Amino acid sequence: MNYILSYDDLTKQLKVWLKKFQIFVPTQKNGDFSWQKIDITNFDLSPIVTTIPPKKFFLPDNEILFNFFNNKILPVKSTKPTILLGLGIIDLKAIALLDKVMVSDEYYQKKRSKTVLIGLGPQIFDEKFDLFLQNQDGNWLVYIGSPKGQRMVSPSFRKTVSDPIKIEKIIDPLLSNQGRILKAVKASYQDKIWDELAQICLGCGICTYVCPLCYCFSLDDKINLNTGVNKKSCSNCQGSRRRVWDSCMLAHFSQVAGKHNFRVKLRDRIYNWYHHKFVRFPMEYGRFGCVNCGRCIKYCPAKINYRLILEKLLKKYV
Amino acid sequence: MNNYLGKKYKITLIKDLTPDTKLFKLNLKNFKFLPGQFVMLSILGYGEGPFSITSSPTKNQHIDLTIRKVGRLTQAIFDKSVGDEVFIRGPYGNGFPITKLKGKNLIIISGGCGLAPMRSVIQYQLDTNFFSNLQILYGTRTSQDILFSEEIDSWRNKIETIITVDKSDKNWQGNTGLITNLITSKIIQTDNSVAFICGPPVMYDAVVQKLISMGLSENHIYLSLERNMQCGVSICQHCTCGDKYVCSDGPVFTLAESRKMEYKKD
Repeated sequence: MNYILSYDDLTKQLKVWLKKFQIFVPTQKNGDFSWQKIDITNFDLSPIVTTIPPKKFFLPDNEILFNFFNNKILPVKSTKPTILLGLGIIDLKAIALLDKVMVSDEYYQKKRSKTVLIGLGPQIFDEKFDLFLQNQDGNWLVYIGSPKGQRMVSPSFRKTVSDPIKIEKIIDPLLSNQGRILKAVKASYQDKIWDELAQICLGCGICTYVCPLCYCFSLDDKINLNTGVNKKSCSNCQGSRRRVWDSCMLAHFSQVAGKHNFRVKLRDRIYNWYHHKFVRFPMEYGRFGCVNCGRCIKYCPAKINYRLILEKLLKKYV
Repeated sequence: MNNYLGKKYKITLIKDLTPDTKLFKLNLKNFKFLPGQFVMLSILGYGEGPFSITSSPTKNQHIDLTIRKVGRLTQAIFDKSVGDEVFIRGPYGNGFPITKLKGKNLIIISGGCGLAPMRSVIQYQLDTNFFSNLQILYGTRTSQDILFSEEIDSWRNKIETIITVDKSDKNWQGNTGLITNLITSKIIQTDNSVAFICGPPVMYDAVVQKLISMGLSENHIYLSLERNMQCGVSICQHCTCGDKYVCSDGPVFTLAESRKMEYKKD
C-alpha cells in the first residue's frame, strides 16, 4: 500500500513528528552540504549529497561508548528517536551494507534502531528504506519500505494504488565488472601505479572520512583529570571509553607495540584501501565496499579518481 | 551483541615469571575455548589489549594470562593485586586446529614469550594425551628470560623439552646457541608431524626454512601471528593482512596460508 501527501500535509506531518523525533535534512549553506536539524519554516527537499555521509548518525566520528566511575560502568544517554529525511538511493544502499558490517555492534544498532530512513528521489531501486518520497505533480508519493515505515503512517496520508517509479537496473558500466575488478586489484600489488599514486596522494585520509563505507575505528579510554586516581583499586577513577574514526591511510594505522609498522609505505596503505573495497569487502559481503557516491573524487585534494585507477588496472590485468 | 567491554573477573593469583613477565590467574569458570585463542582484557581508564590464553581449556576453574610489561595498559595490569577485577571478553580467534590433529607428533618451537600461548597446548596434552608425541624446543636470550621455569621441570617427566639460550651465564647448564641448531634429524622426526611456532619475527624465517628442508610440509607448519587489534571481531580493520583478519581468520595460520597473505604471490 502506498500513499499521497500534499506538500502542506507533509509539513503538518513533520510538525507532528517533531514532537517525538529530531528530524535532519541535507542542507546547503554557504557552499557546505551537511545534515542539519530541519527548520520547519524554511526547508527544501531536494537530493543533496552531503559531504559527510549519514554513517555519522550510527557510527559517530567521536562516540562515548560508556562512562565509568570506580570500576563501575555508567551507561550513556540513549539517542533520541531520529528521522533522516531526504536520503538518496546511493546513500540508502551504503547504509544497507554498513548495517551488515555492524550487525553485532551494540552501539551502532542502538542508534540505528531508533532511526527512520526516509528516502527521496525521482526513482527507486531495490534499496532498503522505511519511507520513500517521490515528487509527482505537486504531491509527494510516499512508499512504505518496512514495518517501521508503516508505523509512521497517519490518517493524513491518502491511500493510492500507484507504484514507485523503479529503475530496472542501475548498471554502472565500470563497477558492474565485479569479478574482473576483483581479479585486477588482487593481481596488481607490485604494479608501479601504487607508487605513482603515493607521489601525489597526501595520505590525508579525506577519502576515508567522506566515504559512506569506510568504517575503520579505534578505541581508547579517557580519564578525567580532576580526580585523584588510585591505580590499584581504581577508586576515584572517572572517565569514558571512546570510539573514534580511524583511517587506514594514516601512517600509524598498522603499527604495533614495539613500533613495527606493517604498512609503513604510503603505497601499501593506498593499495590496502582499494584491496579492502574491491577484494576483501566483496569476499565478505558479496558486493563492493563502494557505492559510487563520488565523494572521494570530489573531495580529494590531489584529485585522485578511483574510477580511472580501476579502468587502468582492468586494461592491464584482465 | 559486542559492547567492547565484556564482564568483570577477579585476579586470584599473580606469579612473577621473569623481570618483565607475570602470570595472572582469573576466575573464569567453564570458559569454552581452544588453545591458541585470545581474550581482550580491559582496565578502565587504560584501554583494552589482546592476550593469548596460556592455560588449557581442560582447566575449567580459571584461565591464565601471561603478560609482559611493554606499555601503559600492561603497566596498569602489573599494578593490580590479587582480588582486583579486570574486564574480559572473548574468546576470539581461530585457535590451533586441534581436532584435526589427533594422534600426530607435535613439535612446539617457541622463542622468548612465544611459549605463553603454547602452554595452553602443553597443558592440554598433559591432561588428554591427544597427540601421540610432543616435543618442545624453546629458546630465549638468557636463562633469566625462561618462562614457567618451575613448571618446565614437571613437564620434562612426560614431554621431551629442550631449551637453549643465546647467551649463557654461570648458572646455566643447558644448551647455548640459536634454536635452529636444535632443528636436526637427530632431535626431530618429520614423519606424521606438525609444528606449532610462536616467537619473535626474526625467528620464524630461520625456523621455517629448516623445517621445510627437513621435509615438513607448508600445510603442517602452524604460525601464530600478531597485528594491532582493537575490536577483536573483524570490523575495525587494524589487523587485516591481505584478505584475512588476524583476529578472526587467525591468529593461527599455516605457513602455506601466511605465504598467500603477502600479496606477492597469487
